[in-house]
Amino acid sequence: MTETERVLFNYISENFDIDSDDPDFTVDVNLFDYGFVDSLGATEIVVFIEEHWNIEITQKDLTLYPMNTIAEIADVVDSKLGA
Amino acid sequence: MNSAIMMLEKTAERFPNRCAVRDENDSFTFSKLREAGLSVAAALMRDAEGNSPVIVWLPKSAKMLACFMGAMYAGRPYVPVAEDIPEKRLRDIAANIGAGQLITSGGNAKALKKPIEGFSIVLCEDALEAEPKESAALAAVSKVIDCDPIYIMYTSGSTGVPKGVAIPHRGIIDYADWVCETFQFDDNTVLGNQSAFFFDNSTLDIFSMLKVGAQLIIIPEVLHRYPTKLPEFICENGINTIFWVPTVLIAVANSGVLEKTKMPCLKKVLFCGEAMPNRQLNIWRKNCPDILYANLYGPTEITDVCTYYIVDRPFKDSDPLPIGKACRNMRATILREDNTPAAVGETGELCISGSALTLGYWNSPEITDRVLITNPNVTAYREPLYRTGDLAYMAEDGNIIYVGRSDSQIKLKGLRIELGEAETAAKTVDSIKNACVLFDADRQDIVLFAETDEDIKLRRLNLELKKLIPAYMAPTRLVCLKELPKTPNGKIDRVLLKKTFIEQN
Repeated sequence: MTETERVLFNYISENFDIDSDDPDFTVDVNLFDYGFVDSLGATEIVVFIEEHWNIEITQKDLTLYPMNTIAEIADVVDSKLGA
Repeated sequence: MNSAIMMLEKTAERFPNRCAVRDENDSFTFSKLREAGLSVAAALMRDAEGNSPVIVWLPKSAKMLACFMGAMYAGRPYVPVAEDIPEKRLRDIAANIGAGQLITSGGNAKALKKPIEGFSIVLCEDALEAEPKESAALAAVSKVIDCDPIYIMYTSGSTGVPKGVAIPHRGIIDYADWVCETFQFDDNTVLGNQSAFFFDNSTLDIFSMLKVGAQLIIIPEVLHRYPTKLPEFICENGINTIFWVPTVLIAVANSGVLEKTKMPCLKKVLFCGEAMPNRQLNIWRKNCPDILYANLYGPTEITDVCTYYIVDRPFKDSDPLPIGKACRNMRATILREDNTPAAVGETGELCISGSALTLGYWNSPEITDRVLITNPNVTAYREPLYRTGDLAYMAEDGNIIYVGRSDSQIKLKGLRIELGEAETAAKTVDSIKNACVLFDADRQDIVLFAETDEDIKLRRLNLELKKLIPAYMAPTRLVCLKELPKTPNGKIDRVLLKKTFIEQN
């Protein structure tokens, strides 16, 4: 797990009340299809990212890049931080 | 006009090179949309003769819309279904239709466990490449009459079997006329589509685009998860008109984004599908005071909309927003239980007549007869009347006010759900001995009461249920009980469950 993935993993498990030893809960699981995060939760995650790393996630980012798993979200965050 | 596809025929001639529809991957001008429709029609007609329904099973996209055009050019009704429809539900729908064709992607077709009886599969990617056969298509269209079905939309059924609402071309032709005139849509209108294509709100977007040459922009599905980003999308795409379900407008209002992101291009905000609370509408009106707001009302059975109210005065947060008056060529009557007309201010069942009424539920005469009746107050001839099941009253000023439902149908995020359908699905799960589903309106929760000896987790249970029912019908709260309470005659005591677990919390 990368550092970015770890931050997201901890934030999501705490905020969405997920047992961190739940075998389904991995960096590659689709958070929405598997019911870990509901529709309101998606916005909360984006707000967290924007505040924690002080970056902006635009509607274009959301449309162009899949952000369904922790690994996918971390990729977007890392590319923003690297830019 | 006999078929609604004639709207595309006219508009493709007027504005051949204007953009008709666009999504994140594709866009079609009106002439390209016509050509794509003719290609799909040629593929359908090559595959089979006749006018059996065409199920369109694709992700919401410009291509899906081209397939609807194709079905119409072939003189066949189309049946839109969600890309993520559970296979069982798709099979239930196909079984209800009986026989026909299924347009889908190669990927979807491969994922099917076995063939669908009575249905041939036409691949969307092949169909769009087929050689258009204009004269054959126009000959098929010329045989259509305006009381033939244009589409069949499947809605939730209380016994667990979805109901197919068949709508005539006449309903759509009238509706497009009325919508474009009333809201002054023209070729400068840019619509931002939110509604799923299997939900009839999308007919406003699709057919006003075809009618006046407006542009339809399909908002990427993923953005609906992030309401705070929707205003940004509206601005960047120059969208001036939206017709969304209140749930989305409420989420945008509650997020606070309206205070930050201004949308100078947005001129008209229409909504339908569930009650719009004035509390959130007032947030919109305060931040975007120059927009025209309109509340539309109508069940799938009457071609999307039958009453409307253009918001023309201030409302307090706690006031109900009227659903207004009947649209042109529609009649709204409020009937008492004994079928006599209710007085002003008296609550009764809202009933609708007009030529836009459903032709009935596909292959289901019994359930059709329950709601599509002959107006008991017209005796000289037969006037079909649709009983909506919605309770309403007429206010002094002639506007209709919606009160609630007379049965266990609910609306969640604008989508219509029969609680019985979720309940039937839950009862099929092995670890659940008996089940009851109730709605918590305050928290907008679908609550499943499960009789079980096991410690069931809602998230895991929903993974099972989503194989049977669409995700939007899945329970959002689970209460596990060793035994469900019973009434003296042995039925599940729903009143007690509601009192104990919903009203007490």
